[in-house]
Amino acid sequence: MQSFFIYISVILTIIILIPLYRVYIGPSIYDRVLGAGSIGTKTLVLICLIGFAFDRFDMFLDITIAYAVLNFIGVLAMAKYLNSMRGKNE
Amino acid sequence: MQPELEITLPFFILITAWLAIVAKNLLTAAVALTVFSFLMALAFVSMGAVDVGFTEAVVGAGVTGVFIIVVIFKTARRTQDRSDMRFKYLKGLAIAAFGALLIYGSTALPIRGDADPPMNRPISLIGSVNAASYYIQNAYKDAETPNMVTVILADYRGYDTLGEVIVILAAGLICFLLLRKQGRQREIQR
Repeated sequence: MQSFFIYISVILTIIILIPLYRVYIGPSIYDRVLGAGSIGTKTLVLICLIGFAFDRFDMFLDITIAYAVLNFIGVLAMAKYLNSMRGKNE
Repeated sequence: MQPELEITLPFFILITAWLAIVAKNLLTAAVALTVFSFLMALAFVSMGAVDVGFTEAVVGAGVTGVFIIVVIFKTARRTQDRSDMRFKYLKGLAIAAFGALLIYGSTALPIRGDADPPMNRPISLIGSVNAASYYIQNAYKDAETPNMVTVILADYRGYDTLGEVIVILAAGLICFLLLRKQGRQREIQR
C-alpha cells in the first residue's frame, strides 16, 4: 500500500507539467493565475499522499486544509487586484 | 523523502525556476515564481520539515506573488531590455566558480537523517562547546514541552521571536498603508 501511494504521488508530480504548460504559454494573465491555482490543488493532494507515506495522516490533513485556504486566498487576491486594475489600463 | 519523489520534484523545481528566469513577460515570471514556491514548500513537507514548508507557502506563494503583481501594475516600464555584453565570459566564469564553490561546500554537509552529525555532538570539531547538544539534552527538562523546536523558538529565544513578531506587524501595517485605495486623496489633487 505504501508503494502504491508513492507511485500515485510520482504520477501526480508528472501531471503538474500540464498546468505548467498553461502557465508558460497562457495568452492572458488569467490563464496563468488559473494554472498556478491548479498546481496548488495538486500540491494539496500530494501533501495528503506524503502524509500516508509518513504514517501521520491526521497531522498532514490539518496542514492540507491550511494550504487549501492559502491557495484560495492567493488566487483570490491576485484576481481581485487584476479586476481593480482592468478599468485603468485598458 | 521517498527516492521516487526525490528525483521528480527537484526536476520540476528547476523547470519553474528556469521559466521564471527566461520569461519575457513579467507577469509570467511572477506566476512561475509562485508555482516555484509551492513546489519548494512541497519538497520541505516531504522531507518532514512541515513548519518550514508552511512558511514558504505563506510567504513565497501567497504574499510575494501578490506583491510582485501589484508592483508590476503600479509601476511603469521606461527602459528596454538590453543586456550588457561586455565581460560576458568573465561573468560566466565568476558564476561557474561560485557554483563550484557551493557544490564543494555541500559535500562536507552531514547526510540528511544522520543521528550523530558533528554539530549535535557535545564538543564541536574545533573544541568548543556546542549549543545543540545542550538543547537536545535539556529542552524537555527546562520547558516540559515535547517539541524541541518549539522550546528553542518560544522559550530559549523568546525575546528574539517577540522582535520578529514586531517586525512582521510593522511590515504588514506598511503594506496595508501602501496598498489601500487612495480615492479621496486623488479627488482632492484633481
